Amino acid sequence: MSEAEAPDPELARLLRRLERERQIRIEAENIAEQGLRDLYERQRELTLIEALITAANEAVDVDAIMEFALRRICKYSNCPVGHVYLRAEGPGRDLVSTRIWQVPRGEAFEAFCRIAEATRVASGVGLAGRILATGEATWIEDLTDDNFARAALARQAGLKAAFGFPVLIGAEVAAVLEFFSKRPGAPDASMLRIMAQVGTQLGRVIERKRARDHLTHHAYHDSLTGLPNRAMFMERLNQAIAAARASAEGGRRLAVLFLDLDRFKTVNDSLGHLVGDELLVLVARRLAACLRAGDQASREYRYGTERQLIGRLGGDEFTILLDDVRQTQDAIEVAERIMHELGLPFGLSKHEVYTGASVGIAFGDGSSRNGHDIVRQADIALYRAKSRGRGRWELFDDAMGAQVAEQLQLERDLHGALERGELRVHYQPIVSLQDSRIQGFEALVRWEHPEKGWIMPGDFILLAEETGQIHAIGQWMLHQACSQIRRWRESFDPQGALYVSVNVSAVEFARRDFVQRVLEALHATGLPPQRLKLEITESAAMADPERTQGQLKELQGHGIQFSLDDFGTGFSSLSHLLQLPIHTLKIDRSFVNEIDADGRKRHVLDTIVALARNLDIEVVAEGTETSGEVDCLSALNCHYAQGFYFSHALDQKAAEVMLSKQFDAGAERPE
Amino acid sequence: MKGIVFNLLAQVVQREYGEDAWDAMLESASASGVYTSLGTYPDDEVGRLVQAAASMLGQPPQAILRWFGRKAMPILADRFPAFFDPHTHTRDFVLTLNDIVHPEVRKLYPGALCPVFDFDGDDDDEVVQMRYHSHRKLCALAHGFVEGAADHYGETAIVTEPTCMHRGDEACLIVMQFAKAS
Repeated sequence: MSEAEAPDPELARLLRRLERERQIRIEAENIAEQGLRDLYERQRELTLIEALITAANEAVDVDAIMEFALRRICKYSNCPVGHVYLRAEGPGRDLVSTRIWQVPRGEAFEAFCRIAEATRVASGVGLAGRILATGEATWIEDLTDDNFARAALARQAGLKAAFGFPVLIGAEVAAVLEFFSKRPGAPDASMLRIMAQVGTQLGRVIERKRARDHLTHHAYHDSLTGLPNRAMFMERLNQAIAAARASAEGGRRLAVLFLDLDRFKTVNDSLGHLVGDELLVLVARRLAACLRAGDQASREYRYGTERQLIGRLGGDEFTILLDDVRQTQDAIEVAERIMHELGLPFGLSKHEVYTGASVGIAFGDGSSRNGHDIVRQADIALYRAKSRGRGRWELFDDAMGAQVAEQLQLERDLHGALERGELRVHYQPIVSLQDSRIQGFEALVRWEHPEKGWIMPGDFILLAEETGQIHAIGQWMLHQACSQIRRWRESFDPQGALYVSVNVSAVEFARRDFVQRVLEALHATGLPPQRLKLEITESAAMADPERTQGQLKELQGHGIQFSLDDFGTGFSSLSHLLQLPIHTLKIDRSFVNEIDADGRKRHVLDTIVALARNLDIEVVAEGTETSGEVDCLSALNCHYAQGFYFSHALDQKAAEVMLSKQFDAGAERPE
Repeated sequence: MKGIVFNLLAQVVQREYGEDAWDAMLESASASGVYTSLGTYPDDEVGRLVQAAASMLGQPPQAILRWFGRKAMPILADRFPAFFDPHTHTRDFVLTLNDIVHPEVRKLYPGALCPVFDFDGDDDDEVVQMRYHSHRKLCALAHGFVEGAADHYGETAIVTEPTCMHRGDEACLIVMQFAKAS
């Protein structure tokens, strides 16, 4: 028995070896199982990453990829709730809910979602805020322990733990994803590693979207003002036409306002393109504000509202689409509001600039062929508005089309008219009202059109200004006039004060080399500077008063004098005007016309003459036509006058006849 | 230390001295003997086993390690012929340790901490100098492996160790030269 019970040492050794081998097997199985588990986990990670990479590569829509990511990650991490915050635009760039959720049904969850959607998350606040602040994945192991803002609601929904991670574009947190689990605890390291990768992939989608938006924006917006460009404006206009077509009997109307800025060229030429650009930006803002103020009923966009769109077609040309216009008057009111707003001074960084706008208006409805036609009609109306004196609006009508075609023909004809010798200078005497003797001449340009005959400056100077031909024409005029007066002085009045008055356009005046060009003309023709007067209009002088003053003072230093043309027709402040070194005021014909029969006009003129005398400024009355007017002007002590009563503008020969009469007779009748 | 080293030791001991000797060694070292090639076991367990063998055989532990390395080589050559077959000389085989053999070992046994040897001298030099630095201080095992490799290629190895961590040096320098076995 003892032998049976006594362990056989050999057997015991074998049993020990067997036990050892058994242990080795279990150990090997454990290692293999652990390996398989790890492999499975890696496989799941890979599947998730692969799915997200594929989806991210194909994704166009950020919301869709976020939804996809939420669904996959919730499944992967066994979290019932997932939610996406996106970074808001604007100050602080808080996180705001995208309202994209992965969430089970149920009241508790709904309350939980509602509060998240209603709350903006600032950097550093709560789970999402901490992720925003650090740019790193973060977690809360136990929601009830943490001062988690939604703790109570989370508890009701049975949520115990949370984790979240950032969607990164470089170092920028573009979005935050948060997940809620029913089991307390921290996510493991490999999980966080995977989420970091997911964040990067999602970041790529947002980045691509931004790049695409940026490109689209560039293709459809003007980079200077941020306004929709021609392409976008036309697209929206065509959409509006389509909408009108779809409306009841195509009766819905739309209007296009086409506007450009008065004297923009002047600002650009005199103050430089940077200032011009600055002005355009302010104009764009003012237009937008102007439209928003007038259309409070519809939703506002950065530029305009949903029923109104502002576009910049290029240069100083802006277009405005008014969709669903009830009556013509509505469009006119918008045009007038715009003209008023743009007529107020613009405070640029270094200058105060006055401009203004002319507006052409055209209407369209369901029967309109396309947007292009309507814009062209508005452009024609604008052209008309400008040729009628700027700062006004015109409605397009069919007759206008034909007239504009004629204008365009004229524009073509004007090209080369100077070279072909079709331009002439005529001279209108300016006489003293005391003795009716010629004191000087106003040089006036005439165009002898081969077919249309004589064309007056009022019918083509504006055109020349538009096309830039004004510079060549102006320079030619200055040379012609100076050399003519020099010759007449030599022939008739060597020691006298005979002078020539030459009109200067605002566009010419704005050139940086204006002073230089005037001095050149005097030098080339040999006319003493004291015998030249330059006539500038109020509006040209006031486009940039400071600069005007500088230029005039410089020319004055050389002995040249200045007339302020069309005095009384502008809106400029008298105090501004009188700071300029003006030698002569030319009273506009509208004040002179029938002055003998109009007591109020007489009163105005009396005041102007008295003011001028006080300031030692000469006064020339323009457009005198009757003896009654002349008598009246003499009685008011007006110094000088010009007009049909004395003489029309004369060609060289006729002027010489007049001069010889005066000076031959004058020799015998000294005054 | 990876389980494969323990398995190699068991195989060598069982082959040279029988099953009982291995049992006795385990007992003497208070080691479980439960080793699988995929597992990882405490470094000092190798130390205790070597110490047990040293006591049983009346030899210094370094000699035991060197003996073990030399005797283990044929088993390795048998299991991993791909490492040995491309070469005809021990020198060439030894020079592939860092770049080919150990990377493969890491693939097969994740987490293996293989030593990195610094080799000195030109390709043409007959003498190969190998610097060994490891907190395990198993230079004697490396020495034995080199001798075992030489046996495999029918060469004799002359190995000296001018510096050794066991003698207080910072690293061990194993200098070897191979000659065709006569």
